Amino acid sequence: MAADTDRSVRVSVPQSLAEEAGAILMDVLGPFEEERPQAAAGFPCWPGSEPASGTGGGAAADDRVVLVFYPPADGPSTRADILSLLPDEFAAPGVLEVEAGSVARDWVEGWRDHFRPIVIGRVRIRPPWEAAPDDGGLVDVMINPGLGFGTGLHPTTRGTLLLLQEGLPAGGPLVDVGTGSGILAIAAARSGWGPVVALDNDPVALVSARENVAENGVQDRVEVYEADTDSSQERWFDGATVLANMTMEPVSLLLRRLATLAARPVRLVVSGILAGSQEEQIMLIAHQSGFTPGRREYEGEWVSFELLPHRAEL
Amino acid sequence: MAKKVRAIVKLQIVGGKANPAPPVGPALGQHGVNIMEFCKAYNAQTQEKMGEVVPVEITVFEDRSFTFVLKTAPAAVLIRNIAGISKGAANPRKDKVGKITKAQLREIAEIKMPDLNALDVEAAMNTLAGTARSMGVTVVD
Repeated sequence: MAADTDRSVRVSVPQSLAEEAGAILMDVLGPFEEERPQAAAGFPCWPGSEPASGTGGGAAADDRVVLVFYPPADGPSTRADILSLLPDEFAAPGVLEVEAGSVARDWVEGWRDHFRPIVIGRVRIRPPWEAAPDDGGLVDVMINPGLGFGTGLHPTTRGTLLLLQEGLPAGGPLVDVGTGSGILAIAAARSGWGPVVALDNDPVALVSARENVAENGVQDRVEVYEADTDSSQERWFDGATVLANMTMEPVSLLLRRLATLAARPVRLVVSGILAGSQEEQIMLIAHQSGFTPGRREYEGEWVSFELLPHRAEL
Repeated sequence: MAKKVRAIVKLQIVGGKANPAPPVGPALGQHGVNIMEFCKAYNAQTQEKMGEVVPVEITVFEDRSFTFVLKTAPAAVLIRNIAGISKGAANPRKDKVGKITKAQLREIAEIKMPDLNALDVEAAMNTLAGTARSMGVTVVD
């Protein structure tokens, strides 16, 4: 066994026995990863989106769960070893499959290679370990890539940020619905918008957003709230630019909510919508909710677009 | 809020003790995400369950950011603890058969409710009674 690898043991069992096997084997083999079939895990399969990838070898069959353990050098690793720990029913033909292997240990620092400074319009996004270069007036945004959607690498983040910077001049109140890491809210605040309200319903993302807001020194301009579309306050939207880089369903809910409010935003930039059928549906909902489509940005399978209040209501 | 998902990673790990060693490192490292950031956040959220199995489901987004939700401990672990089947027994099914009361089963059902597709606690108890039986644990009044 090379020094830069860890031993792995993949234990495949029927779903009905997975919990019992996991509980027993964990005592001897330690913590583990559980690979469930995608459908059983409720994996969201959007048209054209990448399927989930498992650890190491092949994907689990439909009715089986693979438990991936990392035993110590002298720990059990053969089918006979594993079977000796489990009740008799696991000995029946086809119930238990065990595959020993190894995994490289290059994951501790390797992830940083994915995150380099990137420029989107007049905004440069960089991770904390990259210094801000003197590059003639780019808006500097530092995002610790991790908790909460939004590292700057996704086409929908790029599309939203590009559309925000085009068209109307910067400034005035802004609401970022589904802020994730806070990337769009921070970029907006540093570009001249304010006050900025950043919302998310995921407590994990809120921790990240608040940290990133503080690290970028914009806490006097950006307020981060735990809220979803329904619990957001009407006054936040009045006269505001609204960013909503989410997915089809929450963007639709937001548009329908805005249609019920007296408060009117000056402009929306929405994203997380797949080009094609989702795009058509959102256009219809936008129209019904009092908005007219403006410019659009396409990248890969995604579309980001601007929505403006119907002219009669301006 | 599921969105733009690259993978869902499910780990059975111990509260307050996540670190970049396996299984966390390889499971998250293969998707190129910030492993230490996960460990920090998981340990902070599980401080009060230090040493208990606190499964976690991590959603990795396409831009290598992620979020996670904590799950309840596996029913088999809860049943085993209450039935007094000793941890680390070489073969709990063969060597030791335990008992739990209906009241204890209800207690477990109430803990597990958020993660079970059960309409009510009674239905959850029926499901868990099946798990107990398969482990050789008898439910008594």
